[in-house]
Amino acid sequence: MTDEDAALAAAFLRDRDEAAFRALYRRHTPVLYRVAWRFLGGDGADAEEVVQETWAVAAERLASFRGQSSLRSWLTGIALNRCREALRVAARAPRAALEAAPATASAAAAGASRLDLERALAALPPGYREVLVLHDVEGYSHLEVAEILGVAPGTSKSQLSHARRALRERLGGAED
Amino acid sequence: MDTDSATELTPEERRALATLADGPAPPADLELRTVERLRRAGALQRSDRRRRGAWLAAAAAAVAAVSGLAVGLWLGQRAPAPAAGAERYVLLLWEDARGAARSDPGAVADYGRWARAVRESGVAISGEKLAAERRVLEPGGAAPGAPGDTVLAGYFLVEVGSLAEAEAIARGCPHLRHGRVEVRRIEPT
Repeated sequence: MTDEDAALAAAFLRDRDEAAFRALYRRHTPVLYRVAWRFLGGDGADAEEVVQETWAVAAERLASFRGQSSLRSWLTGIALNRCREALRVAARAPRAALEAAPATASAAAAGASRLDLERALAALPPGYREVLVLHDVEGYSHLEVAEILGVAPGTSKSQLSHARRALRERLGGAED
Repeated sequence: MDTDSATELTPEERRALATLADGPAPPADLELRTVERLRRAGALQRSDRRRRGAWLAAAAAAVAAVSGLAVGLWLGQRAPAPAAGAERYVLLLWEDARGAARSDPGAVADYGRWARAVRESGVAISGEKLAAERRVLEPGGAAPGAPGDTVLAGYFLVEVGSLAEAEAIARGCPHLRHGRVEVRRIEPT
């Protein structure tokens, strides 16, 4: 946990200080929202709900967080679980508008437009999408990804290889 | 290497995926909705209700925030919860106006070590260093640069049972090597 996160967490825990909470919220919500939005296949309303639930859970459990990982990883792990729960409850595969429109067959990853990429990501199996979004989009290390997903770092690496192949296939780019 | 060579990203792919990290952004009102949800659940307390009369600490914190200092810079880590019935005391660190303009990273580290030791002894403590630059407002107008031989260099807040206890803690503060420490109880209002 960074010093700034630790200081804000301490201020929040000391007397449930709203200002400290808001500072933590502003530091970490952008990435939590993006991750949830993509895990859920581009559903903004569900992503907002996941962000709110993530902070509710975090506020409740922060006192027991020992700082063994970064606060960002810990929060992302909570968000991921909420996303999985949301998908389970809805009994649906991630869908949303993004997936409804298939990526253009001619778009290789190298030249893919942003929308093509978003569509291809949304159409990936959830496990592939999770590791690819965390590692290649958001820049989490394999150690962090492994911790968030609850797998070994080696599993994160092999899963990422499969995910990249699947993404290229969906973008229509042949693998060399 | 992260993955097998066949699935390493090309520079173009890497760039294309990294650009996705600039959005989408959460809606602006999501913060307020989240805060209200936590307030309803009793998980948050408004800062203005909590700061009973701590006007000086609030002002000092605002100055420190402007100067770019992170909250808890001198402490760095989590403080324990204060004991029930504890009172809040502020330790005002005064120093010679000429000394205030000098920056000494070693001294800051000393203060941090002392504060951590206090915290580890079970006393809730927080504090911040104030930037040398200041503006003093006088009735009738501003006086940039400000008069006076001594300036406020920083402060610590401690939660203890009595003035004597706060004074005992203050006696160990490294600031006493070159400046004055004033101990004041924060009066609930």
